[in-house]
Amino acid sequence: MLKAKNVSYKNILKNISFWANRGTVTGIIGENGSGKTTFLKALSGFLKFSGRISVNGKDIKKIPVNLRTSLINYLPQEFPQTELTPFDILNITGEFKKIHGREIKNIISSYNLTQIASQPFLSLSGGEKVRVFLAKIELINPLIVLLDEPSAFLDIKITNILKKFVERMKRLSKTVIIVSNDLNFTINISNHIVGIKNGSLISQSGTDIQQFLEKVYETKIKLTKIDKKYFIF
Amino acid sequence: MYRRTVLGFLVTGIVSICYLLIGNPSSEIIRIIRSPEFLLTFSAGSILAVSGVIFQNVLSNPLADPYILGISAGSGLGAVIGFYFGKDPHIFSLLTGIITVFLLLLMAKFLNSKLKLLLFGVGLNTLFSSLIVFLIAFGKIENFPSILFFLMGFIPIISLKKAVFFLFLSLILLFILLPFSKKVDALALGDSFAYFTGINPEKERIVLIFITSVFIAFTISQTGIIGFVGIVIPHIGRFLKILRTKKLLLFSFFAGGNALLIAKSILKFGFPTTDIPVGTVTALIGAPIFIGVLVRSKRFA
Repeated sequence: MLKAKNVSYKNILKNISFWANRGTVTGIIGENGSGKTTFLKALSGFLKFSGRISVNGKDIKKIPVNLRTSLINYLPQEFPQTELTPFDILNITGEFKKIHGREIKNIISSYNLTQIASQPFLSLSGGEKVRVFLAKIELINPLIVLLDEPSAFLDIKITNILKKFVERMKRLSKTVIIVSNDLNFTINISNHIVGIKNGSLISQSGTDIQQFLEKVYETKIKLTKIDKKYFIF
Repeated sequence: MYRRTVLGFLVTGIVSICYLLIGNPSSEIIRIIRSPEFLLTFSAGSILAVSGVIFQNVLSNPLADPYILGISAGSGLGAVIGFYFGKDPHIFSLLTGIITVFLLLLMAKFLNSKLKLLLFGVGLNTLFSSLIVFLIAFGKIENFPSILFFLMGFIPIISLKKAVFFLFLSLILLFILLPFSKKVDALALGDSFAYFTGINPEKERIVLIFITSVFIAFTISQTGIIGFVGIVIPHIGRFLKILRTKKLLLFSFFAGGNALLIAKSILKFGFPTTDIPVGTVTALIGAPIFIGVLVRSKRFA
């Protein structure tokens, strides 16, 4: 279980308290610049926040950095500009976790990366880059998976791969947290939704989803429910 | 990997034999002049190139090297202070070099940004360079040629013992850095990547910059500011598709040493009567190669 208590960071995050259970998907939505990504980075321990964040009761600040990765991992919004290949990137990841070459090969084939495994990473398309980093997360196999705007600019095929990834993480009892403005994607895949507005957390409690979205984004939203799924216009 | 190391030794062997034996010198000259010269040149070249790999990868910036970070100018300032007061410029250079390193590390902790650190280095570089000019203007005119040599980089004639010490220095640096290769690979992919592979990026960066800079300060205190080796050699390596840090460190160790040896040979055997600082030749050859690599490289497009 991931728990945050009174987390603040500079004047971007203000006293956020939050928790997420194993085997659940939590969506975090909010306007651009509201502090969503910063909150995600704080949750991972990457930023020097004030307050307390704990994983299964252990204070993250007290966990050595080399052990944190197996607890929490992260799909970034921006990828490194590197000439190294996906194979190199997965190998570098594997070398730290003492993961064998065979496992890396298995991941490469299960993410359909064989064709592009030895091409420079910077020459790959956005969707291919996402696939490489999803493979990286799966290789590390952390308890908590943080996804930062994962579905932005993805075509339907990669979005489906992403959906399958999230579902699989959920089945494996991971805690998944998605930060996204892609409401159609986030609302339908998440068990819970929270909003961030000007660095403060807004919970959905008591309001229906449409009111909640309108409160977070301060704009009229048209929501339709078809076959248990929400569609937003 | 193994094959490349053997190739490195082979090339170094050929270049060294040529350097030691061209012009059929007496055994006296080989022992007292050419051997120490050869050892110091090779060591300086390899330390500079290896440190370039570390600076560029650790700061994820293709421009980073001891020069742009201000370490060279810091060492240069010490040497000029030494000349000014008629004291040993080498010791002063080492001292100010190491002070500059500590200044950089302090700021690294304080600034908390790779780019800001690099720009801080640019600031230091400018500050020290102008102080150097200031001191030269007030100093004795007869010191001017020595100062110019120091600022352009040269290979002094030193004792064989001292030269062997420098060879050890370069080997020690290589063997300290090789085990860090994986961490440097991860750091080169950005702080976030490094963090999520299990590294504390700030801590590792400070440790790596500290280690390399101290070796650089030692080297510069002897040879002055030899430019361009540190920036060109790693880029040639990357151009040749040597991308992983471990391989790039090994490549740069051999290529840096041999490149400086070749530059020194061109001076020594091509222009035996003129005294030109070796740094001039490395820049003269290095700059066009660097531009060529840059134009043909797709990396920064």
